[in-house]
Amino acid sequence: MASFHLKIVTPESLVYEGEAERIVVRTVQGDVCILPRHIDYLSALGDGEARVTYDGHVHKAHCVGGMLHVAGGKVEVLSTKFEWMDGE
Amino acid sequence: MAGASMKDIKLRIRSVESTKQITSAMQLVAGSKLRRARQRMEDTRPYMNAAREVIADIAAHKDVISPFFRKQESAARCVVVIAGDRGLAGHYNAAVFNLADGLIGDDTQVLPIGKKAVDRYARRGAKLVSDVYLKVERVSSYDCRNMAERLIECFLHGDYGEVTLVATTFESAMTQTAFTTTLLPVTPAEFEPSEKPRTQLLMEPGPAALLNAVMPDYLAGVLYGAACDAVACEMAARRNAMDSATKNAEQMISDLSLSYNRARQGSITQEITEIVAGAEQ
Repeated sequence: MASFHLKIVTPESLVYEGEAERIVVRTVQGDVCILPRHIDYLSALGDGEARVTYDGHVHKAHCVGGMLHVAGGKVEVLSTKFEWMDGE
Repeated sequence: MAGASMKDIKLRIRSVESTKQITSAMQLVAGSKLRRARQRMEDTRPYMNAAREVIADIAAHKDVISPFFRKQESAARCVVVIAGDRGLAGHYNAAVFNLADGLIGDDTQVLPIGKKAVDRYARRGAKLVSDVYLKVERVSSYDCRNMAERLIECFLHGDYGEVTLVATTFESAMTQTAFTTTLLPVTPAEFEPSEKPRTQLLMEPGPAALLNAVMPDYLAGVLYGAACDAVACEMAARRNAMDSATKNAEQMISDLSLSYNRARQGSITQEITEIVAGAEQ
């Protein structure tokens, strides 16, 4: 399955870096889903659930504020707080 | 004469030795805290770099009109000063205050972070934005978020025309440099993108609205990064200061031991001379 490079960072640490197949995050204007080969994109994040699909599984997380940045096929989530729900 | 001076020297040696014990213990503590602080500082780097990139992308759009890019009318200024929690760290605090004092005038508000900074500006009667950030080590990203929101609110309201940060940057374990930088307004030139602006970049909502939304996050990130740097700098400065204090104490002990031995030898020689002189009579 096609994938893209995903990096999730918070001010405190690097939460995730690696390949992902899909990510759904809540922006200030509603949920947005990023798939591979997305065009360059920039948006501000609201508070809500994030769903990241990697290794064929959906991983849910609690994501608070920040930015979503897609540049050259690489996706960066810069969040104030990002916590996996399944205790990863 | 020799006996009393011998006792004095012995006492001094003992007191220098206990001072040395304290300084070398402080050096060890600062060393281990430095290791932790450096790790924390390095953990903030990815976020900082990515956040700068985002702001650069927005700033690359020359047609963005945002209050964040414009200096406010107000002549007042807000200075965020990040200093240490404790002294005995060489010239660490002094270097920050030297820079900060040059910026602080009558209509300046100060946001001090760290006990030394809070105490200093409270004592001087400066107008404080807040005096609750007593421990730099304990400043969390949430605290920074609160600070950023407050600063932005006051900036947009026109309470101050400019927000400046005075802090210390960690260059290496041996070198830390105090610096000042303007947090608000943001100067687009500062973020000169390496490549030409991406024309295909889709922004939701528009650039100006986006900037309003991400600015608190960005500023909070900058403040948090600066606080983490400051902690590492303080620990490094203290470790270096205590290292040289310990070395000085060692030098002093060896000098004092030398004079102690000389005094002891002198008293023995004198005694022998006296006995010989007594025998000859």
